[in-house]
Amino acid sequence: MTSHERIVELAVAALDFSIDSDDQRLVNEHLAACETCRDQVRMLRADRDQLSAATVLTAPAVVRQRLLVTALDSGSSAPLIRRPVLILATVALLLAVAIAGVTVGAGLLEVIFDARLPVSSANPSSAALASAAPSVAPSAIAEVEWMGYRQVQSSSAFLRSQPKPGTEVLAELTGGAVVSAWNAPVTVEGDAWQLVHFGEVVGWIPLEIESGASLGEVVISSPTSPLIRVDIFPDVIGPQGTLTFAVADEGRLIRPAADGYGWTEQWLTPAGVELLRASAVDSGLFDAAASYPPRRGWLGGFATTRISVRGMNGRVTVQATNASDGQEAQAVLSLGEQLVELLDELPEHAIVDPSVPVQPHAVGEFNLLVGFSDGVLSSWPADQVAAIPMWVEDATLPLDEPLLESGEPLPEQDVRCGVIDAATAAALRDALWAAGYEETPGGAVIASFTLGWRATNGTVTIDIIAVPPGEAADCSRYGGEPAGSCVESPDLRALLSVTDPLGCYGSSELSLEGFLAPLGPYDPVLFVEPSWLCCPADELTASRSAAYAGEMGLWLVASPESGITLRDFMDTTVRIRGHFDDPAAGDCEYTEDYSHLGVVPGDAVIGCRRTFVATSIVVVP
Amino acid sequence: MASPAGSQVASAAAVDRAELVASLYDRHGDELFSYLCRYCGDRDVAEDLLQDTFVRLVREVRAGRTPEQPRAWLYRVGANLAASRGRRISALGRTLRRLRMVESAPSPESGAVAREGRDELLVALAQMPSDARSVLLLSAQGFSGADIAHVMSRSPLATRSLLFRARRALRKQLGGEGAAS
Repeated sequence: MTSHERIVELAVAALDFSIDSDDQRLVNEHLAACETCRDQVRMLRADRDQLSAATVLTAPAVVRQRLLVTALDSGSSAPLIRRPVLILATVALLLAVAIAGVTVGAGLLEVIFDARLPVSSANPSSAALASAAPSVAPSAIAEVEWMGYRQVQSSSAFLRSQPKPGTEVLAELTGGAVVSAWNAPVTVEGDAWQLVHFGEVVGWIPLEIESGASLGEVVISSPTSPLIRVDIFPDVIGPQGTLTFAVADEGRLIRPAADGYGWTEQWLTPAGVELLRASAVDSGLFDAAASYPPRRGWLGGFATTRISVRGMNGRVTVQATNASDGQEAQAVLSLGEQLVELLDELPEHAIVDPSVPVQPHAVGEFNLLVGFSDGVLSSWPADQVAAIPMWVEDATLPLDEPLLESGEPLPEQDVRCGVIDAATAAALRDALWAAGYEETPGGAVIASFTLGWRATNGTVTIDIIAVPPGEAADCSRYGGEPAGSCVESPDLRALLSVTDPLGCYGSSELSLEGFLAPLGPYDPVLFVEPSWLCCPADELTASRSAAYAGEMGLWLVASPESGITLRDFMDTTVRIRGHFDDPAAGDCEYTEDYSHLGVVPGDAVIGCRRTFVATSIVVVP
Repeated sequence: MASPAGSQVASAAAVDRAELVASLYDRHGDELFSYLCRYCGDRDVAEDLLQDTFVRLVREVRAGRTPEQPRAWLYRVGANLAASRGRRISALGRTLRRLRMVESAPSPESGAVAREGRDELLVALAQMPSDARSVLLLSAQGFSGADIAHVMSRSPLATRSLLFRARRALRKQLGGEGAAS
């Protein structure tokens, strides 16, 4: 570092750190004499000030509401919602407590549910409610209780800011809309009002309107509905049993639990809840099958549904409730059938070498992104492309380049998706693409694949159009034998494209050259002992640009005996020697019982054996 | 079955817990949400991450392990979750980058982020590596150097170095000189 750089570094460090008086004096003297450094410091400080001045966004009130419900729940597994039977029991208990004259909770809850929520700002105090309607005296407590879903029975209903006629209309609900009911109804001036959530909007609906009851029980769609099909894939797929395949509905209703496993049910559609419960009953094992809500977001309004599929000893369910119309529903169902079939084929790409005592990668977890176009294919706006470097490598991507013409055969191993003609587009909202990756039981990402589609006369056909393991995993040269010590080191890119590097290279010493980059604060789900084999913090990427583009690299840990501190070599091009299948991996154990996550103790060993252990490192000039 | 007395105690504890979580959400929710939005560039994802962060806080509180420095704890967990998500996405990125996408009308809820996306500085920030993004945003949020080091689980010296390199890289992204030569 030159003296100029040193001064600039010190001057800027003073923004966040205290520097001693000698250094401060040195900085002042230098800056007084050096205009270049003065400009540098000014610009760097200005960047920081500009970032600091960016608008502070408001955290969503609905998240706060959910958290309160979670915090109030006394269960150990932190469910985000209470099932009705528990709610009733809790209400009964709280009533008993109230009757006994114990008022703990009510006052505090009024404080907790403060004016940040629309509901609370408009919500009468518990005292007011108690005087208006003695029958709802525990409302301050009951208002945090989820009472289930209700459906608008009238042709329409106003969602008001307060339980009073004439107050602000927050939303006009159409007949059939499903709302989430909170609290027992509150009677104000003789009218009963129900507190409900409708998406992000929280407000009040009168229970009785001129035409009769406004809200009723939700009518569960029958499995014959065009939007829902049940048990259409009874076959066993993969070693873990059949798959549950669920497609989210119109947002926020199906999500994975916070730890990434299992369901949080508060966002499920009523139909989805019933289907999944039925599935659980049928299977006896309610494993994970989760989906994220479609994102109609800033990726140009592209609607994506993220689907996570995991093995399940149950019956296969496909739920296509995210479809906004019948045609799209059929497309989703068709896509689902084809995906499941294709997933069945994927294990064939695994490298299964019986001479290597490693569990081949099973059908682990697939995360699929499925997009649906509205029939008009164009491109992302350039400014959005530029803002998404993680997704788009090059802002100068030839966005106007024509895609495939309708009917043109897809080139092999081409990730481009087909394009449909206008007539096809008009006839069907086509599934555009799906992509995903697969994880081993040990948690390593070992394969990514892309599924493309072809549309012919309105019929969408899904193909696997890129499966890296199938094209790149060339382990045949080793003849099925475990790799020996004389194995030629692979190029890093070749190594990364191999499905099962452990199967290919065993514990051979490999020499790899690449750019050492930090993984960032990695948050592993599963912790193991020995801890040095757990949770890599650094990775070797093919190049600096690859690291910055977010490309996958080889996750590294350093052998304790080597004395290497990988962080000392960060942001440099290095040559690393090391190996998979370190002897210590054989003793790897989870630090906790993770059986509820569907893993077995042996998975810890597999995960550790797949970890690349660096034994030496040198900087490449 | 639990006795009413026992349940009463549990209810009081639950209320205390909810009050604590609510107060922390009110105190730090906005700034953490802003941080996560800028870190990952997606308001919906940031909402997910914000919720997941606080759900973990609820678990800690429930287990009697209320963080001593809740603000730093929340940022550390939020940053971890965001980075973990980034890892998974990057595995997909290799193929998705080459896919053609579809344009349609952006949704209203994406407006705020999209508007920010046009901001040159934030766009440049989005192109920074995750560590660099984290420290720049933490500094902008008013964390001291020591606090940033704590959140990032690094030594103060390493954090100072990382911050400087990040600032220089950001400036280069913006088209200015990153360092004196």
